[in-house]
Amino acid sequence: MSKPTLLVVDDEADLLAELKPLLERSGFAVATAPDGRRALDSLQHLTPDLIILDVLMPHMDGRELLRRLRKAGNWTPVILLTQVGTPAERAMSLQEGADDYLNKPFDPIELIARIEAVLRRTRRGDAPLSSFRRLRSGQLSIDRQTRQAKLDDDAFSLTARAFAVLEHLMLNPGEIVTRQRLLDEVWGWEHAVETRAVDIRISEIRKALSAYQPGCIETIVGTGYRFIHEVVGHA
Amino acid sequence: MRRALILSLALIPALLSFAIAYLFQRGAIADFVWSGTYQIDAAGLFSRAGLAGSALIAFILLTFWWAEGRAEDTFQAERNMQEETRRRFFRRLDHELKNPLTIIKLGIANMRHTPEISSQQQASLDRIGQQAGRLQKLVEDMRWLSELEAPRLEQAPVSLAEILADAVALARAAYPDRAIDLAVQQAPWPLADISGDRDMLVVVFRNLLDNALKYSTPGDKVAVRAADDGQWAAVEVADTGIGIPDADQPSVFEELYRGSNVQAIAGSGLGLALAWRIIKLHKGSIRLRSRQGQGTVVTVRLKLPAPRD
Repeated sequence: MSKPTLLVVDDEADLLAELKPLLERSGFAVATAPDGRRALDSLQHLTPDLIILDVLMPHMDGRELLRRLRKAGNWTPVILLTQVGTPAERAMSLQEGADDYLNKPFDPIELIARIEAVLRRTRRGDAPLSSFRRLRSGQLSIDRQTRQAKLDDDAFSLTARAFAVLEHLMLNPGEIVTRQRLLDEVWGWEHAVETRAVDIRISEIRKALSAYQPGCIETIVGTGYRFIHEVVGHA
Repeated sequence: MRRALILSLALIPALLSFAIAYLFQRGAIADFVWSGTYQIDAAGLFSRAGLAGSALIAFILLTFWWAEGRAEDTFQAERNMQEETRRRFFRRLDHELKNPLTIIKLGIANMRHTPEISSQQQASLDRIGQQAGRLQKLVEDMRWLSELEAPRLEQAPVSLAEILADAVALARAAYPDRAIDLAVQQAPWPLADISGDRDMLVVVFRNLLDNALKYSTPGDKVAVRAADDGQWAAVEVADTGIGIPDADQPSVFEELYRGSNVQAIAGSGLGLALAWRIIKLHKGSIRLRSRQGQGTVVTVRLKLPAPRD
């Protein structure tokens, strides 16, 4: 199989200069563009497997480019590099058709893990789970809009953060999600909040699922957690 | 018509004064009242002054209280504006630091993969990496200070005793050679639960303990005490460390402020500011008393939820 091609779009030349060799070393072919408009130009003759897109750029920002691509029927997977980590902004990134997003400053290893996860998903031809309102795995289902979890038809209550943890695990079935990533995604505060905070929410979820399958969330010792069952999305 | 208006405007405070004077004389209001920083023996004063005299005193008190309220409002408005300016500044700073930090992290990762790297260069990279991590933590804390609003906090019944045990365990792990005394009310009943955000409250007490340990030496005492009075839970974090100079005490809860006697000890100046903000969002209070050379005690008070029955 040939190397997957990535198009990296960021207005910061130094960032591109450091990111390009790093991604190439990880087995990707890398093209770059300094802003949204130039990225559109290169997409005329280039068909990347994935686009890494900075949100804040001059001329045409990342969101605008993403909207234009999706409007034109271009469904090349996109990972957004976001600046502000508010939950609203994150939700917006996914609604606009991004496949994933990562906050700056990101950990290089995390970026590569996300690229590989998104590529795996799109190779299977699946629409990203993040584009669905409801996620279901066996009897368990969650409504991401009303923030409600159900076993069959019985709603059960979870704290807001436990729900968000479950949501993130279900959005990435089969993937190891690190405690740090959950802290970053759910708490938005990777350093100050201790990793035990994650473990407490996991045990809350397992307790709520005890009648069903507490084992659907696997502990990866010293690393994080993984949702081991298949998840399907519904509108 | 205008006359009636002026008359009634003058009559209302006068009647109010008489009413207050009457109530004081009957002993229906507290024996002591506060006027600014002065405590007035109201019971004694009003019993000696007669009704008319009392009314005059009550009128003066009323005027004073009104002026005090006005000053407090202005002060609050100014403070809110300052806070907003500061928040904008932090948001901007956070924003400007993110790209450089990303590039530094990528650069370090790339350099680790250069073929001939000496152990000395490796050590340099480790140090740069650690410092970048420190900077990232600072940026994160600043963003939290600018973004932390009530809707982002969870409101759930939580065990304050557990929160304190967690914070102490984390502090013990970070300072394994230090002793921390934890005394949580057990009798006649255990410390009441509170309503709030468990994870954020752990951050508060962790930060307070960090300070207590950082600004004291292994021979010093660090103690956490918690009790409730049926309405409020009070937690004290006390140490026999270096203390805070009087002149610095009013400012210690401000972002990035650091005491004049701690320049030799590393710190971001954000720990107390974050604690203050989180407690404020819980509608609690946080107070600090300190004597330089003797130690510091920080008292956090959190309201207990009203009993359900």
